[in-house]
Amino acid sequence: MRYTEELYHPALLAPRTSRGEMELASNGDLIRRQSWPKVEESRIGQDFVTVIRDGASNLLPIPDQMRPWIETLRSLLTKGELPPQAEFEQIGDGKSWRFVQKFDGQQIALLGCGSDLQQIEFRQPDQTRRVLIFQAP
Amino acid sequence: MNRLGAAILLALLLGLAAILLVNLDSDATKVLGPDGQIGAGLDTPSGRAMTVAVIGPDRNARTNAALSLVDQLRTDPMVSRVNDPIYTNALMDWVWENRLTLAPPPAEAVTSDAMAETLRRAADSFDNFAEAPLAPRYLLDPTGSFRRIIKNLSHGAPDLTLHNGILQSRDDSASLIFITLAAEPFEVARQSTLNADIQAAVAATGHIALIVGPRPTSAQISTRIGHRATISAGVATILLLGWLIWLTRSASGLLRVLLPIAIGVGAAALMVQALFGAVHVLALGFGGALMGLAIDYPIHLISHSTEPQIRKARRWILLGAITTAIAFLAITVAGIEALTQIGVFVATGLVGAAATCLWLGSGFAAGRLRPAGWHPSSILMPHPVSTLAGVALIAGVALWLSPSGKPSSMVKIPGSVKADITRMGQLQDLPSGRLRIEVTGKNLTELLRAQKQLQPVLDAAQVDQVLGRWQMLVDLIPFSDVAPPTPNNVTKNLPDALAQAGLATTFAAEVSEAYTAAYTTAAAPKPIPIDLLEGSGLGTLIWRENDVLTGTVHLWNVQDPGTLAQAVIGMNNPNIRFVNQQIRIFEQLRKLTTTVLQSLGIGAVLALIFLALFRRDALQIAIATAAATALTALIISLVTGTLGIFQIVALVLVTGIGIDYGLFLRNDDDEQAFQVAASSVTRCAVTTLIAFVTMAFSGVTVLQNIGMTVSVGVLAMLVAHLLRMPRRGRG
Repeated sequence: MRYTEELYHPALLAPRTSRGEMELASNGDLIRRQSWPKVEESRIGQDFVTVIRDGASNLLPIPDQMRPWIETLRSLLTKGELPPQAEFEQIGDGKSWRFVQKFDGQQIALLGCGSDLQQIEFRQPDQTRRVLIFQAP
Repeated sequence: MNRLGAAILLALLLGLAAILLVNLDSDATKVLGPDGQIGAGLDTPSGRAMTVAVIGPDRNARTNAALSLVDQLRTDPMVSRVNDPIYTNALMDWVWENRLTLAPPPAEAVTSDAMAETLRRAADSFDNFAEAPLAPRYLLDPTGSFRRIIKNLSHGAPDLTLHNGILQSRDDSASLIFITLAAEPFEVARQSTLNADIQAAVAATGHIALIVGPRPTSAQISTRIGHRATISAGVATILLLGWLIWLTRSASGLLRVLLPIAIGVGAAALMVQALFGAVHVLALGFGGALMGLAIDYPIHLISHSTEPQIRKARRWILLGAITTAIAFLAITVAGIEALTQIGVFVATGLVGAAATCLWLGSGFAAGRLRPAGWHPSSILMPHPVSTLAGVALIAGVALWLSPSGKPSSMVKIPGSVKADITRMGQLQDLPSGRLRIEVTGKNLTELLRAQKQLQPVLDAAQVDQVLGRWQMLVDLIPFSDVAPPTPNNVTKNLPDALAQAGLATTFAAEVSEAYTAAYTTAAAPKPIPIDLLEGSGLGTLIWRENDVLTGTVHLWNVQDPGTLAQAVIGMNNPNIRFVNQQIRIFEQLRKLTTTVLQSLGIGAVLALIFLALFRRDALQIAIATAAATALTALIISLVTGTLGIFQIVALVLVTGIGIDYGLFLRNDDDEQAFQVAASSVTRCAVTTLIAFVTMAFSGVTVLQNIGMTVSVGVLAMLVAHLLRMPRRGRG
């Protein structure tokens, strides 16, 4: 699944944009292959992320604040549904829809049209906002 | 109800009360005093650390087994943390707050150009998945302290590969699980259950579990001791019962021998519980030693058959019990709670057992037991007392002059446990468990400053091949001993720096506020939260006790500990010290031994004074007892290399037994009275030997020490007191 990610922060005059592809490995790892602005591969496991960048591999624990975001993505890509523990609220009706979940100063919003998920927006307490825009294959 | 029935009822009531009321306590600090760090070590973060290696050839299979075990352990109430991230979010928050202390920026870091470059790189971090979560903080940190700390910490992470979130051993033969146990007191039974559960869960997947850590290893050793001790006690009980049945030849006679001990032990346990709120396992363990003495009382009583003999025997039993109780009570002056409890336990138990024995009486008709009837002294020793005094003197001088060896360990670590620890060390490249350097400081800056001073010393040791490598906190962070720039110096250049970096100048206020907060924290640091350290990857590198921070310097491949110790001493810094854990334990044991010996010396003098009030031959009894005690000490010292704490306490028991023998064997007795007394003492010696010889062959160091000392001592006492007797005519 190809994506474009826009990242917003008060210090940034314009959002930072990155592009790439996402896929799910057979062992359940979420693989994020960023192609722009810099080539980077992240293999996201249950507790750790392996980041390969500039030919070097780095192992890192998944930060707590990133877990809901990653779990939502993993669940959507694996089963095509929201994580079972998430309680999303539907906003609006008709063809376009928006599900929102708020917790601990964070917010995840899913935006779609019909049966397609189009965007996932993730607002963090540190004033960062990520918008992951999925592109048609 | 007759007296026997009443005594049975009393023993049952005391036993029931002891079961209901007595709390057992195994706190090692009560043995080693407040300075003791052997047992207290189990309550530090390192003491609660535990590693499980799931060993198997297939990486996927063993990793899956390890993952299942991690899930199982996460719900176990004994476990606080399993495979937590090396650097927790709480630790990252603390590092953020204290960044100007941990990595104060140099003055040149606050120029517009320098800050612009730092902020540009901070913004670029958003494009890096690994760094993106930290980017907002990087943007609030224009001097780059936080980023530099994070970079250093990342490089200091363990050099082990990760597979499906589980670290793998260096030789790729095992998956490793790192556990922090809950901050609860160490209990052998609970820890053993956890060990067994882990072993069973891993075995069910077809793999082998290797469990290593201070608590699981201690539980393993204690369980092993418990099994051996149970076997030893069982064998001793069967042999003793057989001997006593043969000796008494009746059920009521057997009860008269056993009831005083039962009542004595019950009363002693309740007395210690009432005075101390709990009974230390060591004090209870000496209930067994108490048996060695208390069982003699009824045997003396039933060995004397005529009314005048029984009257004298009753007197000597009471006098012997009180004398030994005084000697044991003197141990309380050592000020070590477990030893104080032993003193109170034995004193109460002996007096209780003696009183019960006298109250019950022998229950035998006159002449029931025949005297043993042998008398070696008339053949062997023309001047017995002066000869025995000479033996005491020579043995004492030999002991004094003998080189002081290493104090024997309280517990011998079994070979299989040592092999497990060595294997775990190979799997994950563990630092030395015996050697380390400790650096202390009243605050973080003082600690890091001292560690910085230590760095060149360790560098030189490495060059000289004295030391392989080391790790300490200051190696993981870019600390420099400079004051951080003031907020004004940072704030004035911020708008320009943000503009140069292509960032919003309106963000300057937030950056300035964040820097001022960090500067304030650096100026007035708060104590480091203990929970934070325990749960983080820094837990083994820094810990806090009261107001003192201690930073551990882990050492690998120390080729020459003496040279390294000298180099550290040469720094003349009281905050830095080389620690050889083995020597530290030996020093503590030596100190403990000296304290116990001093208190026992006082006890011996008091006991002699008390004895002199009732017996004219008190000095002769003391000389014979001292000779046998010194000879026993010399023999044990020659056989085992040194006198350990348990051997010394066993010698006190031997001394008590010796005083009893001396009380019964009187110079002015006629031949018939002497033969009865000699017979009585011999029977007592055989009884004691049955119990303690079995203990000497138990295979457990502590029990072996006590068993061998008492066995040799009882034989020496028997011979010494029989030889003390003057030549007498055979009528």
